[in-house]
Amino acid sequence: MLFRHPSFSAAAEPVLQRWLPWFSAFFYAARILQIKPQAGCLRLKLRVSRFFPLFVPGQHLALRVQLNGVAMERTFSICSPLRQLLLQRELELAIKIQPQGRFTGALPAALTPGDYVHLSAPAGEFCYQQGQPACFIAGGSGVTPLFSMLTSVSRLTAPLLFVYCYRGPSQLLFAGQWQQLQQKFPLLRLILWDTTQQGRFSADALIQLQPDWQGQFCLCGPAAMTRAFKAVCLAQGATESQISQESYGVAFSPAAGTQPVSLLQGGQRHALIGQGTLLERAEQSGLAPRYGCRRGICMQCLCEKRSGLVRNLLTGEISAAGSEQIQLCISEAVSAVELISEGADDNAKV
Amino acid sequence: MTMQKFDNTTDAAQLTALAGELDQLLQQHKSGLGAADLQYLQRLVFWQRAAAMSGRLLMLLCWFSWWWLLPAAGLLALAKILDNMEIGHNVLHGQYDFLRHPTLNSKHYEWDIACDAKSWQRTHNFEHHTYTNIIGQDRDYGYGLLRLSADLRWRLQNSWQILTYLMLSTLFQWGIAYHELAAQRVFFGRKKAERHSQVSDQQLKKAFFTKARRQLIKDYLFYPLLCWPVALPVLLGNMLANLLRNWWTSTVIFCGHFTEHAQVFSPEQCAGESRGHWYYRQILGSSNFSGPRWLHILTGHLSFQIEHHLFPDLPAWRYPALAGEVRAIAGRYGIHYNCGSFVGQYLTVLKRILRFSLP
Repeated sequence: MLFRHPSFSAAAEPVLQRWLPWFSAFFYAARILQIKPQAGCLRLKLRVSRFFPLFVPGQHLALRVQLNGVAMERTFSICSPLRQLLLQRELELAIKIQPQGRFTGALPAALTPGDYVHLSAPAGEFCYQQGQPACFIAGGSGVTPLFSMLTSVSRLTAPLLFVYCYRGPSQLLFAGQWQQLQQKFPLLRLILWDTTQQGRFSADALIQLQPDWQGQFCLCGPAAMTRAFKAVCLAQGATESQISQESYGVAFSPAAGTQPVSLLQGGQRHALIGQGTLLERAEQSGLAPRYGCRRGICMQCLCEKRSGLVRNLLTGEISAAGSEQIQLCISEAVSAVELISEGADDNAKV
Repeated sequence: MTMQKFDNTTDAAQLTALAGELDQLLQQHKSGLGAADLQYLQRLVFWQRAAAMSGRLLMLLCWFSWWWLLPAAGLLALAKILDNMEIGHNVLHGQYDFLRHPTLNSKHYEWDIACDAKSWQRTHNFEHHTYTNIIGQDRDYGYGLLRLSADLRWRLQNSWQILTYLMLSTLFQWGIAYHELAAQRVFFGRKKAERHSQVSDQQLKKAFFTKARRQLIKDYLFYPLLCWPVALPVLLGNMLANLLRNWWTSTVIFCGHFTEHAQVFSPEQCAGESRGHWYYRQILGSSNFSGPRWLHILTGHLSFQIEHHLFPDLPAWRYPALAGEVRAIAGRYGIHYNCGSFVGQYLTVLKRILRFSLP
């Protein structure tokens, strides 16, 4: 029985799940302790098992939830301190709700306390090194990883400028906790920037705050915002290595076929050139993905999409933004798309 | 029984309308996919595992009496049939990919049969489902061993093809495992110039031997040794289970395209065909058989071969629900919908094998 299964637990999964529905051989199960709407977000407090790995504050994980039987997965930053995981085996996420979103839009109705969800191991390079002056700039729900970084610190030993831009008091995350943090950390300079009152937080506003340009910069928010502030930091004399950033959001464009597409294969990233379906573009770029019928029948060209929007040319349907399997021969990119090829264990060259 | 004379240029409008109706039917049923499919699949896999484990455990009772071998091998055969047909075949078609299950998907599932899943996907999902019943392009038509239509040249070896068929049926899992290697002339024969493959002969050989070794070790070495004092009954029981599965799957599969009224096509008829023509060809080239629900599950719903060939990536347990509509649509376009009883259809298969063993 075991011979064709990836692991013993994978072989046992279908049997165990009959009595332990939360059991998974591939993901960490987590029980929902509390669900609380806050500032347009869903705050989830989760209890994980003692096998859950430690995370570095600032890292993210994939939240996997079954919606109408379909396992949907999206990536979110952990917003709770590391201490909470060590002492209570608890994790917190703050999930920005997009009412039209296929995943976040359906979450409030789908989850109730006591339910189980699945998590991936934490991952990501976005982190904060203590002991040197630093500047955090957060836009909207981009505050979540930075909040985890800040609250995980027991004592600040160097000045930290924390700028958090939010759209009006109703959108302020962690509203009750900012005051306490300010009292706890004398070296923290907290700027809560309400964009409805003070306008957009601009480059000039940042320069006026006089951050230490030789220190560390952690930027998190919409892609346009992190890009803009990275440029400001570079212009003011900071180097690439001082700046770490994380951004979110995809830009949808109906002009399909020529969107930037990258394909990750065996640790190498290929940018696809040309136009047309993703299969054609991969071939024009000199890659040799597996294919069969080239008309959407045989599923030979199935490929993992990590992010981005694609249009199904047979049905005209636009995909969701997160990770899923797509057929390359009948898909074209309608936003920037990231694909992952399995490489070695697959029979084909890609 | 010879090639259907159908002109795909004059009837283009009709074919477009046919494609429209079938596409609409597909969309209608696709929109209802969800939790019910997951529940069905999970229950199925649970019962498959339960049958496999109880079968293997019952074999230990051969210590007391060899009679236990029969129910034990029967249960293990049931597990293998469920795994190969209703689970493996359908999962490897990508019917359940939308669930995004970590293992029950077309990329990662590996089944309890000698054939490597990836190799089967290339010959079956691609060749057979794209070029169904096109003489010379669909190698599943007669498996390169049997002459089942007057459009194939008669050779001397066809005279005893009923015996070849019985042999193939007995060793069916090895026939399927070797199918792609035979097509690519990996070991014997001259390479065919027009065949191209993305997979090298080296990779084919490696995949074939890896999977074959794994299956042989499991059934004929690992489990017998694990149950040492009853090693012989366990070995024989596993052999019997494999044999029963081979006979069953080959019988079901032969009823899918080799019945009396299943049509064949020539490559010229299908060059640059429209989606409508593809649909049309799938209906004419496939045949269904009726029976109770358990029979359909044991065949992996290949008893609804026509629906399966029209909608290969729709979860198979939903075929019964749309068969009525498919039949009505076929009727409206005057396309023969081939359906009969299991035994009746199988007898026409035997008749066909015998008929074409003569020139």
